[in-house]
Amino acid sequence: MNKALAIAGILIASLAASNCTAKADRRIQLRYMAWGNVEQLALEQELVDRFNRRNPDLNVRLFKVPQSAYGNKSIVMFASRTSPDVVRVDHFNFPQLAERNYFRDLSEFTETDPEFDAKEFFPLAMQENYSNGKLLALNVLFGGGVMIYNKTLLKKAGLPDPFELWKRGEWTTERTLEYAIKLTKFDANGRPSQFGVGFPNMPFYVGIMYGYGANLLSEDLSRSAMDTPEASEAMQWVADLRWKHRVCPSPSQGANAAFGFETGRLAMEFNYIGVTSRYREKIKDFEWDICPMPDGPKGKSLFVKGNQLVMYRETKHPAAAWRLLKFIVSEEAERFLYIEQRRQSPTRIKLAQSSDFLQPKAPPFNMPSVTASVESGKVLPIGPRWPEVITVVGSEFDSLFAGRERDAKVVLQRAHKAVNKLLSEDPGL
Amino acid sequence: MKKHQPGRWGFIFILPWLLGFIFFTAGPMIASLVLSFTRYDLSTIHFVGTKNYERILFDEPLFWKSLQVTVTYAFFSVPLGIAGSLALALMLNQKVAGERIFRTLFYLPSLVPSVASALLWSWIFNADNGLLNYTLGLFGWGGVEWLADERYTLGAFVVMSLWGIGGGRMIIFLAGLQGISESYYEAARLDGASAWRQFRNVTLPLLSPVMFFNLILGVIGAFQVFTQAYIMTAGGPNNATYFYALAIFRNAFEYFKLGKASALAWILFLILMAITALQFWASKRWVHYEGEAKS
Repeated sequence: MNKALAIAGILIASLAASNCTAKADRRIQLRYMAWGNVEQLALEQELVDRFNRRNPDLNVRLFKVPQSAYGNKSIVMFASRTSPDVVRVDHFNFPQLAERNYFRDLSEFTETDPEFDAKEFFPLAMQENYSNGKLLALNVLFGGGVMIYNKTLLKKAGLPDPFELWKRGEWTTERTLEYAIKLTKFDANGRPSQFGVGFPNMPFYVGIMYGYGANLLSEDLSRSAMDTPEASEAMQWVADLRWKHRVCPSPSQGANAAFGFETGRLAMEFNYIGVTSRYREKIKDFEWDICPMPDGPKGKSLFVKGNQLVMYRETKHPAAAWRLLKFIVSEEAERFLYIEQRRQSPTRIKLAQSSDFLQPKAPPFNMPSVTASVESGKVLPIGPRWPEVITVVGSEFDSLFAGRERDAKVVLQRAHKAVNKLLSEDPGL
Repeated sequence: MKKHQPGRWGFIFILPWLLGFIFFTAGPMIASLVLSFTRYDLSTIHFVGTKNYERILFDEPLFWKSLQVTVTYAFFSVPLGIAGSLALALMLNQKVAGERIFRTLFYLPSLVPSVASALLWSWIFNADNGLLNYTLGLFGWGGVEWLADERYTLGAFVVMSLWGIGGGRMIIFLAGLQGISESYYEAARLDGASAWRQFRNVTLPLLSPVMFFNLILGVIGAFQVFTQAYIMTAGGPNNATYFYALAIFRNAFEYFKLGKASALAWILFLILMAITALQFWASKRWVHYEGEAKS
């Protein structure tokens, strides 16, 4: 009995003490929600800690949600009005969520805050943050796709460096195919032992479409644009890599990372710069670097995509939330994230063009490849109905990518009809 | 002093469950029924009458596709699963040394979380390095793109469903088998019945209520397959694994069409009710209860 009383006393005392601590903390409490792998979340925590140190009147807590559950969690929190004050949203979901009016218009801050100047950011980075003419976000983890290549394998095959070719305007889809063919090897049993190039999945094939002068959707995103000969040619090039030339792994060959770039069995791949932090850590036995996406017959294949940092519409502390938002895109934070940690491209023009960013001491060294996208890439055709559109497109493209249908034109016609049907229907039903 | 009625205590004891049922099951069910007549995207809500149902039934090819995928899967996976569980239960019901160890070992796979088992199976089904194709290769077969070729993907899911044959269903069969009195077998043996005859005429009829129970739960479970399809194939390739539950999830949480998703859920509910009613009707012909008089 005495023991039970003692335990109860300790519990009551602890509760009282914690209550006193909470009362003593007069700082404004903010929550910031983000996702990422362990490394990314550690960086987010570091940013939050730095912000808290510089802003003693505020206390930001990082609300971590696993990537697999992030989409649903954020939607449920927005809808149930329990959202954190500041949230990072993937651009694939941003226009869809923006339509639902969950985000606060940031113009009231950007137009009045003397410390913020939108002209310091790449126009493309700002463009992604608008929805229906309203500035609803700031861009983070922004950048475009690049090609990552195994320099050692290319040298062994006697092939000129792709980045040098790109500088001369000679890095093209045609040249990429030529390289991929030369870099694909088979063992004595006829089984592939090395592939020339990884498959350009979404959104990399959209970039290839850009290079061929095509697009998935019309400019206003209201209808499909896949019925052009250019779109068919672009997707034929993509599908032929796998099924005609057999220079990239089939879905099953590529499954479970059997031909991951780190294995040294894949000569080139389409990927984002963010992946290179893992490569720096893992790859010890060959040289590698990056170059931009290859030009197509009608122009550049460069595209951009970022994440949007939004302020929850019903936050109780908009001014404090704005300070956090502003800090995450500040020169200090961008220097940390994109120059020291090299997660993506800075959205600030000055930083992206600085020698610190362009002349790193560890691979990848060809950083203008990243700047090229953010300076002259094209945004992806992501609108409020993107999840539905890409599901329809994806299920049609499946047959092309799995080799059941070899003629891209047939698949694109089907996808074109399906997307137009979808976009003509009542969006709510 | 007023004497408490026994019924009141019964009510008090079931109150926690009752409250849980009202707030977490019946309440959401009624809410979803109301939502199924609305256009609801988490921010605005409008009454649209039966438009969601009309759209699903008459203008949504993917609804029929998802139904076809799910029914086909249930048609193969449920009987195979029941047969597998029964066979395992029969084996584990033998009086052999270490029977408890065997029972534990066969039950273990069902304890693996579905996400982990989905990843494990994606390795087994790998066309190039997977265990399945390797084994088939020893007999001169193989080379099948199990998860990438739409002709085989659903079959792969049926095979994968057999992973759970040693789980709860087997335990129920085992309990059912142990509930059959030895005296029936003794009588059968005295009459000269062979082992097969004993199984056919004693075990199966007396186990039929358990089998019926497993059948109903199995069909309901098959209509709710989600995790594996979501993780392993995302409904592809070309919607070959676009299970009904995945359709509900996508409409609700990816497209924000919560009204339509609710309508889909209610259609599923009605389908399952109809199938279950049919099973109950058909059960009169093959389910035998111990002690019941046969006319």
